[in-house]
Amino acid sequence: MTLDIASISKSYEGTPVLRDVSLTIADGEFVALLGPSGSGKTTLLNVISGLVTPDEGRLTLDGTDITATPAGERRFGMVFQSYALFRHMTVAQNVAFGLRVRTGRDRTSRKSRDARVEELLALIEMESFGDRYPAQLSGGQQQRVAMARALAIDPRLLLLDEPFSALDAQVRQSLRGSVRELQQRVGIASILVTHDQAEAFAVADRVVLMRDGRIEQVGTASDLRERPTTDFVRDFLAS
Amino acid sequence: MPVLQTPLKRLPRRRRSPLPGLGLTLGVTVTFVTLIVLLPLLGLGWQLGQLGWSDYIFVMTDSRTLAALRITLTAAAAATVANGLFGLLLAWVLVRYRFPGRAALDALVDLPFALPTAVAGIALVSLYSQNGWIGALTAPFGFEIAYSWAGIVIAMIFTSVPFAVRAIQPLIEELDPAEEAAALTLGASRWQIFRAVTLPQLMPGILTGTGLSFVRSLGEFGAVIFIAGNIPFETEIASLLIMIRLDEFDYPAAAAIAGTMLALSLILLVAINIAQTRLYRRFETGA
Amino acid sequence: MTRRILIGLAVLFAALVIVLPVAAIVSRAFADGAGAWWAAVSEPETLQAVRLTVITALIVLPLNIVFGLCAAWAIARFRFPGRRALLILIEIPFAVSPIIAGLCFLLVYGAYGPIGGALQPWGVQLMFNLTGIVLVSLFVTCPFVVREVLPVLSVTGEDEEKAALTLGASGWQIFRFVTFPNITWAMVYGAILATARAIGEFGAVAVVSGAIRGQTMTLPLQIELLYNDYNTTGAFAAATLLTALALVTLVLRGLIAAIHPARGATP
Repeated sequence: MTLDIASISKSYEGTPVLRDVSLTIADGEFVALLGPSGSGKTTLLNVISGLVTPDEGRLTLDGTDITATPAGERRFGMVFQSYALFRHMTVAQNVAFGLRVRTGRDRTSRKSRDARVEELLALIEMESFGDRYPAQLSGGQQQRVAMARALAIDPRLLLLDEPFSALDAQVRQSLRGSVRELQQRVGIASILVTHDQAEAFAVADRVVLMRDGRIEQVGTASDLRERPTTDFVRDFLAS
Repeated sequence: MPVLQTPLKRLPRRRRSPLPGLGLTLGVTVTFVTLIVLLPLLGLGWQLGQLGWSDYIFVMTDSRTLAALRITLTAAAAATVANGLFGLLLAWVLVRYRFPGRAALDALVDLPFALPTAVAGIALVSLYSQNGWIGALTAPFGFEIAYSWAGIVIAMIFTSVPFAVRAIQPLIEELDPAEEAAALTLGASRWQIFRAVTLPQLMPGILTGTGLSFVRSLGEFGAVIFIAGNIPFETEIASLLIMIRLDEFDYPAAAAIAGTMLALSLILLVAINIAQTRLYRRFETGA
Repeated sequence: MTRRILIGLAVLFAALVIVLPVAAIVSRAFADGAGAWWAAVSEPETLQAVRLTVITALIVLPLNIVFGLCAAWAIARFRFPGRRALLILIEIPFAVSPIIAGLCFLLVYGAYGPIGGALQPWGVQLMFNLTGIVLVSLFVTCPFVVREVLPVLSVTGEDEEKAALTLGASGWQIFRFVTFPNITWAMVYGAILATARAIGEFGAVAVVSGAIRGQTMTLPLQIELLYNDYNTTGAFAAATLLTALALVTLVLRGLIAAIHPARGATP
């Protein structure tokens, strides 16, 4: 799956939040959107997910224009900053949700759903937690359930919106590694939004540094550190 | 104007939320509100508009109308004063004291809201009429409550006391005990503390509670007409007069009185709202 | 000492003004014994009034819930011009007194009103029948469900719904599986208050019902009729039914508030 982002712009009430952003994400690649708050990174993620409609520009997935495709039909897995777990459903019900709501031709049987849930809970090493409710889990466990729920729909792209920000430093460290490992095992192209450069560099193949709605520089950790193209990149990474 | 017409331009821009359902839910809401709330209110305005100034003045200066307005306003004012005092008392007792039956008392406060007004009406008249439990006690002193102005006031107190209690109660709960303690260490008496420290902080609640209570009393019908006696110029309230004009098919007169009462209620509600925000602001800025 | 006086005064006031009336209803209704009460309650006219009242509530309730949920969803989840004005319009029925509410409906939907008059040639009559009673009941109960559901919906945030959206759920599925479980209790609470109000409404219904004996009398109107006929036992017996309903409403409210403390305690 290759995602092509071409000349995306978006304004809220006359204030531009994304200005002519273009970026290509290759199959299986892990990209981090890094930048200070207000740089437009979360809006860009929301445009990709379909939750925000851009004013201009187009999104292409493997040659198909998906700019006008509603969020629900894109089949992009999304992990929210707040996790947004359904608090009245058990862990298993949360993970199964995306399969349960399929109708018509895509209808899934209960049996196949249960099997898939079991598989995913094993993947996040939470096999015995299926009957718990989100409120009975630790922050790190909730985060993993949110990952499993997003992966359940066999997403074509995985979107992570500051997924570690609500966790304490130690849990954050260990989860970073497991998210990266999970991503590589599933082999899915992923986009992570973060304001934490250590996190971006630890997880991503490429880092996209954003500022004021524009892409400042794209590159690997060493590209950005050793060859910053602007003063902002140097200053931001030095801070 | 954009030169290129990309597919994007044709996308609906009106909704910022990606969630579906705006069209359906707003459609249902607007249809319902238009048919059930807006059109009837416009109907009253339309009828008033047809009336013209001189006819309006004629209806409103009719001595029976004026008497009905006077009776309604004075009774509502008396009921409101009573509810301000009792509301404060009940709210204070409910928040500050723990005693057996407190929960029951708390629940009872809502009874007037839950009890249909016609039921309240016949209950009150049976209590306060000459052979009722309370009426029998006051009758020997030549003081008759039912079928008099006092009866109207009692009915209004009954139907609107929950407004006062429920508006004041949360403010008492939020009071900071440290402020009272501070006043105590400064040598203030308990009455002084209440007057100078507590009462001013309860003012927004008292204002809202009494205001709502007054508006409710102005319009109360079911509970009042049974106990009022309904004698023109003496115990006839404005709502009843509107009803009588309707029965006479005198729609213009009914609309004139109703429009006046409604305007008065709405102005009062807006005024309460404004006064309340001002009072709250005073506390927030810490003046 | 102050404590005792204040508690005493509060209890005395509550007893005199709130409890005694209810006690009076029961005492008068059963003054001639339970047999007389039963005979009065099972009078054909009273039963007819009960029937009409129940039918009205059964029509009003679903309409009110559908409207309430739609309005709450639209107002909580979207920004559109006139949003504030819409909310004010929804709340206005609380500020309009019953007789004035009834009058407003007569002026528009009555035979002399613009809409009622226009429908007249087709033989459609909206006032002085069940339709009229239902319409004013919808007016007086309009704000209840919205008022309870809207605050809950506003604080439950949209993240869960957006998550459901990205997982491929349809609008109806999002509402059914994600939103509705969060607002069920608020909705039930509002619906209980609305039902109690629809059943007990007197003034507004009195204006538009036409008060045709044995036909368009709701229970509250029937109570007035019996009372004015000097049928005291009949009036008070009918009143016990509505009193029981009021007490049940209070108990249900209390229960919901106890199970679900987050529920606002709006009167």
